[in-house]
Amino acid sequence: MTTAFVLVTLACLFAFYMAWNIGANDVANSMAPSIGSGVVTLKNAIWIAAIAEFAGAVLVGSSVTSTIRKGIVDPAIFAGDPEQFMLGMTAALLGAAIWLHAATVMSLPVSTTHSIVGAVIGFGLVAKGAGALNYGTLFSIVMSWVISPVAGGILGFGIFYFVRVKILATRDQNEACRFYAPYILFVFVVVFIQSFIFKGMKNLKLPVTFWTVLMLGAVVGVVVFVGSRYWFSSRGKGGEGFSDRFFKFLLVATCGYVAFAHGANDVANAVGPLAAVIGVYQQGVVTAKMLVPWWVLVVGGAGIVSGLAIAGWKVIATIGSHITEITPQNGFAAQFGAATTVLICSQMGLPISTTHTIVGAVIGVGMARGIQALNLRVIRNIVLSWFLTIPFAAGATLLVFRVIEAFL
Amino acid sequence: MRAIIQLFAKAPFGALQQHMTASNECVDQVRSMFEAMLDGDEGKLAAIAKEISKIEHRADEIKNKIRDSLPRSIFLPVDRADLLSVLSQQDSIPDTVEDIAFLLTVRRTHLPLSWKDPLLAYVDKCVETFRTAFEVMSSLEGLVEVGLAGPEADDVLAKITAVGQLEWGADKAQFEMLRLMFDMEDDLKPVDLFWWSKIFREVGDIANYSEKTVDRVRLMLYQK
Repeated sequence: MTTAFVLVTLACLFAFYMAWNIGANDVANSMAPSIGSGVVTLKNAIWIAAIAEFAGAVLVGSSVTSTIRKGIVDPAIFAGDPEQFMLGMTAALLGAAIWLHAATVMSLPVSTTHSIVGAVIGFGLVAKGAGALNYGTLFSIVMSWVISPVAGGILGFGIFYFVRVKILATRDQNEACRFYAPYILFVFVVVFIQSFIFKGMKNLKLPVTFWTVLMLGAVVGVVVFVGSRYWFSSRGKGGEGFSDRFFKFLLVATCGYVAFAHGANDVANAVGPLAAVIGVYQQGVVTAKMLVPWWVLVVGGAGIVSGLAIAGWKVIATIGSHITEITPQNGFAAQFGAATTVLICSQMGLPISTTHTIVGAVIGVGMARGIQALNLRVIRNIVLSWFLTIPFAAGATLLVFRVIEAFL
Repeated sequence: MRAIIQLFAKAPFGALQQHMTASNECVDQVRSMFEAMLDGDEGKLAAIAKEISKIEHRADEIKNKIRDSLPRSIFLPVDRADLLSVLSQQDSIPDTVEDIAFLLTVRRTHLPLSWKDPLLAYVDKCVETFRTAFEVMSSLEGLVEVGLAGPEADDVLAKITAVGQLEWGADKAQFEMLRLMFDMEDDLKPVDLFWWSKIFREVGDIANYSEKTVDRVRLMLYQK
């Protein structure tokens, strides 16, 4: 058994463990408003998450992926030492996974992307020193700490404010909802299509531009607008509970979409480094971009789903009984606000975290008087987790690197 | 996930309504106490007083639970200080009813039968003021859900104004009642006089505290 083969085996195991942690922690985070509202039952939430995440991961997830997320370290500097590169990526997977696991236990809302970036920083430092790091990327991550919650907050606030003034605080909520439903559906469809093609399937590299997709979204949106307007008006008044039913529908749709997009994008955090290790094993050279074998995506998808099924559901189950404060309306404002923020920011190339965006969106909805009580002490944990993620993921990787190195 | 879910704190509005429901159970008994007195049924009076004391204790427990659940780090759609002052005024209502029960049972006070109709009318006016305030408090949770604005808020504000008017009516009835008492002051023992004036004031306080409670709600609505 060669050293390289041992490393590939280890990398597979660690990638699975990393994906397991993503499933246990991150998936539930990105679906929190939907699940907390009780609109989706625990069982259904897990089914939606499992199917959508797996589909997202395997179908469109990173068929071509960058071996090092966000280019924090330039792979070219390892060209002369492929074995060290394999070792480093293997260590980074375990280091990031250990940090994620610890964060889950301490219930800190951490970003998986930032964890793997932190882990690669740790490897870069131990292997090549501080000169190996791309400080521009590091800066944009620090920026994202501010941008993701603030942008999520602004959108969450705006969406809930609209819903409150135009629908909730009216004489007949259901009638008002029936009137505005086609407009909301229009915006929803435009954002959904835009987001689905660019965020969900960006790895397929479809030959389309932002504007053509926007046009496509607008055309489909207008069709939906006209159709829904006709449908709602032909059926008379909104009727009892129409507003709740309408927002529940939107919430479930957003929830499934978020899980799909999450699977498509964040599986790369686990399979990217694994693909890098396999690439070196097969070709003997270090590459920046790597065609991922299909079975690697399955490892990632299976890891996410098993993490969700074994550990994630416990977390989801505890909230079902705790939350009574999330309504279909404020849940939608938070979830849709966050999903839209993720879309806009990734369009702009900012490495933002879904988890941080959701936190911002929930607080934004609270500021618009959409939530009966917010516990602001949690914000302390959130800020703490921003500052801890990179040093701790880097530190864990450093240790793992030294340990594996000593045994080989 | 847990971290994000922890963002959602336990909201105090449902418990505030529960507290008012306990107050309602207390206020419900006030008329029965005076009726028992008019019937000369001391056993029944004592039983009601005991029941009231139990409900008042339960209301206190709810009040403490609400206060414990509102550290400064909780962000509410209303001002936290306003909410606590609503609770404090509201909590005076079961206290007042307990005081009335105490005054009626601790001493065997003579109740002239000629007072029957005006006395019950006075009690009813105070109870009605409370009932309207109870309606205001019952709609609070729904009002928070729609963001404390819009037509529902206007309805509540109209009801708050109505409570003020009812309280004014209760004050007038109290004036009449005291007048009636002093008209026959030569026929009553001085201690009876003293004790009845205390009782009338306490009965009036049911209306007073009801008004103060909803006035704080009005403050809460206008501050946002």
